[in-house]
Amino acid sequence: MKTFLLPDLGEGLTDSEIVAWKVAEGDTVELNQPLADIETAKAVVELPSPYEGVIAKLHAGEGETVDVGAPLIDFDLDDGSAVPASAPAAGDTVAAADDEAVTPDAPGPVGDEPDVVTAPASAPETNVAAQAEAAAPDDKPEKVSVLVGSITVHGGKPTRSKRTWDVEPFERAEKRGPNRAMPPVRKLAKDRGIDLQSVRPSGADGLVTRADVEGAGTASATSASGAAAAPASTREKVTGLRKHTAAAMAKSALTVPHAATFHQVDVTETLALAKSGDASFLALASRAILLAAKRWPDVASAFHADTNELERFAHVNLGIAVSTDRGLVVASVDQAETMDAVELTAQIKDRAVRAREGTLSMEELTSSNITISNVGVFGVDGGIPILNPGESAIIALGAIRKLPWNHQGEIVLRDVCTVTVSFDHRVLDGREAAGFLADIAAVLERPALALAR
Amino acid sequence: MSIMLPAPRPELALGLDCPLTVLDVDGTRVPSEVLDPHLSDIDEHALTNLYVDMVRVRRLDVEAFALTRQGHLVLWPPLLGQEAAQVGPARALGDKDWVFGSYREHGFALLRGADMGEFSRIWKAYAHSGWDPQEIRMAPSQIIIGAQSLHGVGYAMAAKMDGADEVALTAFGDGATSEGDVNEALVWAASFQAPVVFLCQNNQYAISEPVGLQSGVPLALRPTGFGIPSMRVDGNDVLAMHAAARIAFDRARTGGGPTFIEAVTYRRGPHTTTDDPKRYRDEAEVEAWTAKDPIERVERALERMGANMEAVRAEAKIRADQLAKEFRAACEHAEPPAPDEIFDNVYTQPSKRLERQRLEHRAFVSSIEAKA
Repeated sequence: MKTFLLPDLGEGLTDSEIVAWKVAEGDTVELNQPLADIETAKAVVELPSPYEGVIAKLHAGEGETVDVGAPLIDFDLDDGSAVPASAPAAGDTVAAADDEAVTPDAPGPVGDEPDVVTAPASAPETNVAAQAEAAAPDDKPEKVSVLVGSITVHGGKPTRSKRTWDVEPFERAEKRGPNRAMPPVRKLAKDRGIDLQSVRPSGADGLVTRADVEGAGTASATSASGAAAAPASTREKVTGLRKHTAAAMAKSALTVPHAATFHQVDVTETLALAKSGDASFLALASRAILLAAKRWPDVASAFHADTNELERFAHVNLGIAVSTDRGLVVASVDQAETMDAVELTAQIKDRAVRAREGTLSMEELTSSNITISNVGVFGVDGGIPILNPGESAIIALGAIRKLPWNHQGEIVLRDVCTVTVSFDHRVLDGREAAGFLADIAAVLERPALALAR
Repeated sequence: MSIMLPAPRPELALGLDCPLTVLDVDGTRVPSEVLDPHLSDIDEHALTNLYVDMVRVRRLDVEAFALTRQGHLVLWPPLLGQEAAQVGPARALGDKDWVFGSYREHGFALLRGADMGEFSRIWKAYAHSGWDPQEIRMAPSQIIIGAQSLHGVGYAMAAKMDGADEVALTAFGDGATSEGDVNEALVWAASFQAPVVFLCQNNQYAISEPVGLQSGVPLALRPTGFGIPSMRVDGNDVLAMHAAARIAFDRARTGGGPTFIEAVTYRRGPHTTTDDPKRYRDEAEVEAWTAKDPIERVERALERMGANMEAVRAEAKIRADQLAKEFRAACEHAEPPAPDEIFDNVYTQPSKRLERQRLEHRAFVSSIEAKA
């Protein structure tokens, strides 16, 4: 038995979808026989059989997405099943079987004949040159003197026709892609609220001209029905991280009773500390959260509805939500309560970098028990985040803004940040969540307070 | 005062109106006053050998493509359809001549005698070269489009200065003729009358861009602007390619300077195993070129010559299958290099700094292995 694992069919792909199987379980297949059409992010490709044998099991159905490296097909090999997979001869067994099937009387050992200029080494009847010379001596006077053998020559004296090539500008057979237009025309279309894609282009190379846009404006103004086709909605299959995130968020939102509380915090002093030292604002905020979590241990816990148990975690594994090109991931800094802000700065940076590279381990992606979402990087003040499944609290840090603030009895501009805590109401009530948030806020407002906690 | 501007000189190019050919698609021999004098020694036996060469090259290509889909190779740029364009010139090379090719020159590598075990390693990303360049006199596969043309011209200039009887052949595609490197190479080759053969395999596409987008005139006209004579040849006609290459090599060897050959051919497969050609070309176009298959054409020619094609086909299949088997076994058994081997070929002499980096890298790798 050999199990064939799905290889990376492009460069750096993580999964592929089975479009269609061309074989069924129980079928006997040859080496390199097409087994399936498989769609990657780049192309639909044909998978040739890596073995000669019988299909024992297909691990995925049509339409299913398979991860690179996951089992795809089990093969029963003619005699391979008797050979342990680790035996060094396993590969040879397959190759030898192939040889017997295809070339019953292959001459010589592997690689004995890299150069075929010399005469073929096998049976004399394959020496076609000798045969031909014997067969076609009569033709000699009729063929071009430069050739020996029985090549047929037809036509008279060689002639060279007049050159007819000409400079031909390249034109695409069909127009592809979206409509294009010069910047002033794009501006005109935008100003008039006309979708460029709905305009029929009349310019050279399929460009939309000013007249096209003006004409379209008149047309849509006069005909209420709107002759120009509106852009169609599209549907695409959701795969990979998006699919995973969708499932996790739906489960969390539908099974956990969420509640949230938020607070505007004057973070001027913490921000100054971040600007002057080696610790980032996010790391300092993490310290404030960790100190608060020490006073409210239930925030780092999990509610198990099936057994009605509350699991309190021994350590605070701080999850950092990172937005990557592929989607959202939560990367854990394990035992974060044991780290100072400088170390946290390094650890958070490391997780963010590796999240974007896609090199985080499964452990790092799943071990967090409380999460920070730094939504402020998107310029917003906050929001009510959905809990990462299996956790009881998530903290959203909003954008830091200069706001007029009551500071020591004066109205002055201060750096203000909205902090939101979403929590599992089965675990925490408003009192605990608010206490937790107030403790975070207190340290963020007066970092020196950390000395006392 | 008048200034001579570089301008195409059609009189320096042959085959502009219709590519030079000696074998019709149906295998009939058509006369060519240019090529025929250079095919006088090609008898049925020699043509059979060219046929077997092409069948082996194709078999290697097909097997490597499958091996990539099966996860044994990382990437493969297929040459399906270009066998004649490579086998013809490869069999015109002298023992001392050098080849400077792109990443698609598998036919040259095979016929120059690259060991298949070594050859598989480059496409497994285990090695920087699939052969010892000095041993088979072929530079490593060049991934930078057209860069090898400069290397080839440099080698040819050096050979000329040394008075050596060596010719450099540099092979590249249609897209490379739009690159600065190839144009610079043409300038230097022309200025120094270097003994170099430019072999442009015009396979009609620079990845997805059709050749018509790059040039409104035949590519063979371009080198004439540099004063380099050229031939536009039917790249699916192995005899025409062989003869054209012989002409070019003779010119180079006898002090005639550089020659440019445009092999008009077609890449029937994708650009590489990660490309989907259906997105940029019609199936009908592929079918039209499949009808001009370089191997079937020679089969028909041999049949017309009275050859026992059944025996020739059987012989070719045995050799091709043997090669495929050898290549597959090599791919399946290749061992990856040690992670710190990357430091071995940076300098000829080890340096303290590099050794320190090697140790650091080794420690880093073992730290990962320890975690795993």
